[in-house]
This record gives sequence, structure tokens and C-alpha cells, in this order.
Amino acid sequence: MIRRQSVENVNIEGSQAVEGAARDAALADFVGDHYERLLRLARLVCRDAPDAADAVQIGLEQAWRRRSSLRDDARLRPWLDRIIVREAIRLSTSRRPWLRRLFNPDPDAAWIEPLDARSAQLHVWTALRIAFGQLSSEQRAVIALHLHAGYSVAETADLVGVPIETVRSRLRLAKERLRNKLEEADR
Amino acid sequence: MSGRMSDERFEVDLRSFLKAQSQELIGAPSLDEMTARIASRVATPPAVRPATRLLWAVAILAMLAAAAIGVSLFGGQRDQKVLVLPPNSPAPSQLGGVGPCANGGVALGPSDGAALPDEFRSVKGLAGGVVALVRRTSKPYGIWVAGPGASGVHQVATLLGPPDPDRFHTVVSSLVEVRSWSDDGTELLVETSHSSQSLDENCSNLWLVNADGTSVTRLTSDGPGLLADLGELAPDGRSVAYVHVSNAQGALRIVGSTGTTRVLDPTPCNLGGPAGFLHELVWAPDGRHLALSCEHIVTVYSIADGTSTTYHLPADPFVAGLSWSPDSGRVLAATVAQGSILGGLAVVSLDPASGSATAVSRSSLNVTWSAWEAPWANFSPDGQWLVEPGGLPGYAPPLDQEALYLVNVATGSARQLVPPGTWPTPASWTADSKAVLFDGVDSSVESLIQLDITDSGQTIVDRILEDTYWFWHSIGP
Repeated sequence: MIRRQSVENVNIEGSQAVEGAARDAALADFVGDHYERLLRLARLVCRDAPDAADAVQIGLEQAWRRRSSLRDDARLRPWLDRIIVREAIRLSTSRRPWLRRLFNPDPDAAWIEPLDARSAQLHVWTALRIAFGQLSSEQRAVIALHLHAGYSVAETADLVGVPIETVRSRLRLAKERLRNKLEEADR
Repeated sequence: MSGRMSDERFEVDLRSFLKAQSQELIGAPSLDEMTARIASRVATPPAVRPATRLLWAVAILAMLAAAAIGVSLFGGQRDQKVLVLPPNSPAPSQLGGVGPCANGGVALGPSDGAALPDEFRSVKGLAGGVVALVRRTSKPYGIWVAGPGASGVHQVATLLGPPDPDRFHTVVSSLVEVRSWSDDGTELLVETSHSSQSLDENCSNLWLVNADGTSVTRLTSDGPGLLADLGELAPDGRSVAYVHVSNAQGALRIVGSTGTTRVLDPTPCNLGGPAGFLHELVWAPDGRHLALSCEHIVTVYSIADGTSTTYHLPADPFVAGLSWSPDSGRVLAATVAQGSILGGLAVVSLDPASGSATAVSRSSLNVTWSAWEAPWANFSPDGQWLVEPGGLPGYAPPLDQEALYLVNVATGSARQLVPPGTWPTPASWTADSKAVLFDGVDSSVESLIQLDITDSGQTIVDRILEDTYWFWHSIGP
């Protein structure tokens, strides 16, 4: 079925163009203010900073092209976070470096936390880093959104596009795995 | 568990680690570098600020001028193609478009031919405890039926899509939901869906699956931008009610066994925007009425003449659960105040015949409800009990502090069914209202657990391995 817009709708579209330009500017400002936060969010889902940067870049391009689909300006932050996180999941999944994993099963182990006040617990942090890197990108995403970014379980479910039960399941399994590693390292 | 690290310390360590990990951004481009990258790929870069404020100003002025002369900068008058396909449309290839919904989204097929044990050839007649669920093991993906009790899990349908296999793994969890059983236990109503960033790309469709795995029937063939939401089988299994969402507008439809479609309400809940506020659709046991809830609104429809009664419940509650009385004479609505408050659960009885609404009880349970958790209050089939996951009083609990509570509908009194640490998901009821089934942790293994509410005896229906997820479960008659 083809539905033709009426003349009235076209006139409305003109005023919507003005509104759209203002929203474009608001989006640009928001990205400027939240750029580092978005990078950090993507970093938790991706295995390294370059992948996180790629996810943010592709996500921002998508956001820009799809900005007209944002129906509620108040939802800009979760809308953008959703795009970035989903892109980070996609990238992280599609770039799973099986060769790297084959020859170096714990690649993140080489990344040791800089010496600081936590140095006494270096082994604990290293264990967490390894365990976190071994989680699936989907599990890292729900951890990042719920425990780091502060979204509720339901909001996290909405952002990653899965049922609440699945988020619960992923959180549960991820936390159990991290906790086990942490406890092993702590002994 | 002895020797376990305290929850508090684990949370602190984990959050500190996440903060540190998120700051490892060596090699990430600066904002200006990112802006330049994006600018080279799109017409106008999104992540630019001071240097291009002038550009924004010019753009805004240009658009203002365009608006003044009545010309759209976005192409003037456009045709908006809206595809509305009737149920049983045989030609998903006509849908067009790209992406997972291009060909109608995820498809279902019959089970892979593996023989089912005799007890599953005749689901009809089982007294209860038969569970349908979507299960993902290594392969194949599909709909499974489990039970009764711990007697096993068997596949009855296979997922065949979506078209892009690389995306299948990551989006599968949003794709399939077992919506309901027919009263005789022979059929399941299943919804397949795809969610993406844009509403225009989403789709969902309904299927009928024989509970013995012998056949799968597609009911809708909706492509991008079209959703078949809240599908529910009528008690006699001869029709399906659902909300068809197109162009962000919803219509309550009933599809008959012959494929005929009747629009019961063209604008349920007066939806004017995205239909994200639709919550629950419930058939009366006699099949003569439907109840639909949307946030604080409950509408009861007469199937015979299409008339309806709408209840606007007061004081900013969210209708967390709906249930018809066994005699189909009234609707029970469990409401909670939106936001985190104490003791926000109340039950209201709605009488479609008189249009009256009567308060039944207010729970004494000091459970912290959040607006997001609220929708999971589930009535027992006999209307005497509510079961819901909640937390300790006084604060919004972390997930591992949530317990499962049983609430007496008549009195509002409550007791804890399973303690925190079980990670219970929202529970389903058996037909006899004597047991609930939920996904939780038992002996450190994620399991599908059936719990008798009278003596708290539990049966492990199935244990779930680490890479296996249960997405939605629904107990059979």
C-alpha cells in the first residue's frame, strides 16, 4: 500500500527542517561533551582502544545518519549509548582474533596496571583483566552498561536489544566468572 | 558459602577495575581527529563543536529560509511506502528493503526430525509442568519443550534465520519468545522479532508451533517497521489477538483460524507514538473478552460487539500484571507506583459488567519496586497469588540481592519463596496454581526450577550450562 503525504504534511515538514537543524546542533554538542565517555563505554566492550575508537566512529556515523529516528530528545544519551554499544559488540564479535587467541590465550595479561596505590593487589587486577577479557562481548556490554554506566537492568536490556532475563543471565554468569577469578587470585 | 569474598568487596573491586579499564584509551583519537574522520565519510560531521559553530549557524539560517518559502530541504514531497501484509501472506520476498527484517525476519521450521520420546507425542492431557522455552545451546537454536518435572528437554521447532548468519549469534536473544499455549496444550504461539537502533528496521512475527514438533505455521509476514506485538492465543486455540504496530501506530487485531483479520481497536490505549507502552494482553477464560494494559490504563474489550471499557487507574501506578477470574467475570490488576518506593503493590478488581473498580488489597510487603522491575508481577491462574522478584526493604537492591516473593492477593501478606542469591527471573505458574517455575541458580548452576508453593519442595527441570541461555519460558496447561 502506498500512502501519499498530504500538502499539509509537506508544510509541516518545512518547519520540521528548522527543528531538525537545531537538533543536529544539539547532537553535535552532546557528542562533544560525551566523546570520552563514549570511548570509555566502548573500551569496556571491545578488547582494545583502537577497536573502541572504531566502534565509536562507526556508531557516530550511524547516529548522524539516523538522527531523524530519535523521537525524544530527552533520550539522546541512551539512544547514542545504544548505538555505540551495539556497534562495539558487533565489532568485538566480528573481529574475534582466533589466531591471537590460539598463540596467546591470555593476551590481556601483558597489560599490567601501572604501579600505584593498587600495586599491592596487582595479581588481583591482572586476574580480573584476564577474566574480563575472556567474557563474551555481550557479557562485557551488560557489565559496562549496568555496573559502569549505571543503567538499570531493564534499560540495559533495552539498550542491547535483549530481554531482561537475558541481561540478568549475562550479568549473573559474568559476575560469577569474575568473582571466581578474583577469589582464586586472592588466595 | 564459606570462604567467599564479601559482596561489598567484590562490587568495590569490580567497579574500580571497570573504571580503570575504561580509561585505557592509548591510541584512541582525540575529538578533533574523530571529527575529521567522520567528516570525510558523511556530509556533515556530528562530532564538531567550536570550529564549526559558524557552519551550524549558516545551516540553521538556510533551513529557516527554506522553511519560509515552503520548500523542504529534505526532498520536498515524498512517497512513504507502508507495507501492511495480511496474516498468512505467502510472499515475504515482496517485502523488500535490507537487513534482517527484509525477508520477514527470523523464520521457524519444524524440529530437525529427531524422534521425540513417547511422552511428548501427546502433550495434551498432562496435568501440568510442561514448559516451552527458547533455548540456545551450541546448535541448533530452537523452541524446546521441557517436563513434566525433570523428565527432559526436547526440541519442537528450529530457528532458520535471520538472513545474515554473522549477526545471528549476537541478536538471537531478541528474536524468539514463547508467548502462550493453547488451553489443550497442543499448540504454542511464538513471536520472532528483530530489534535494531531504528524503529523503521524492527520487525516481529507470530507463529503457531505444534507442541509435539510436527508442524510450524507462519501467521504474519511483517517486514521492516512492522510489529506483531503481545500476541496471545485464544483459549480455544482458534484465534490470536495481537497489536499490530505500523508507523508507530498500534491496532488491536484478532486473527481467525482461516486467516481473517478483525480490527478490534484501531488505536488501543490511544497510542499516538511508539507503541513501547503496551504491556499485557490477556484473554478471558471463556474467550469472550480481552483485557489490555498500557502503563496505568486497562481496557476490557467485548469480542462479540467490540465495545470496550477503559479504566484509568489513579495515582501514577503501573499495571504490573493482569489476570481474569476463573469465571471470566472480573479482571485483577496488580499495580505498583512508578519509581522506587516501599510497599507499592496493590491489587484492584475490575468488573466489566458494571464498569466498577474495587481495591482488593495493598501488600504489606516491604519490597522495593522499581518501575523497571514492576512488570513482572504474575498472578496465579486461580487469582489467589502473585509472585514477583524483589529486594530487601529500603533500597533498590543489586540483582544478586533479589529474592522471589509470594503475595496473597486477598490479604496482601507476603513471604519469601527463595532467598537472595538465587537470581530468580520472573516466574510462571502451573495450571493448578500450586507451583511456580523460574530460572535461577541452584548449586552454582543456572537451572530451570519448579517450586511447590505449599511445601517449598523444588524440582530441577533442567540445568543450564554456561553457554546456554533460556530466554522465555511458558508453562503449559
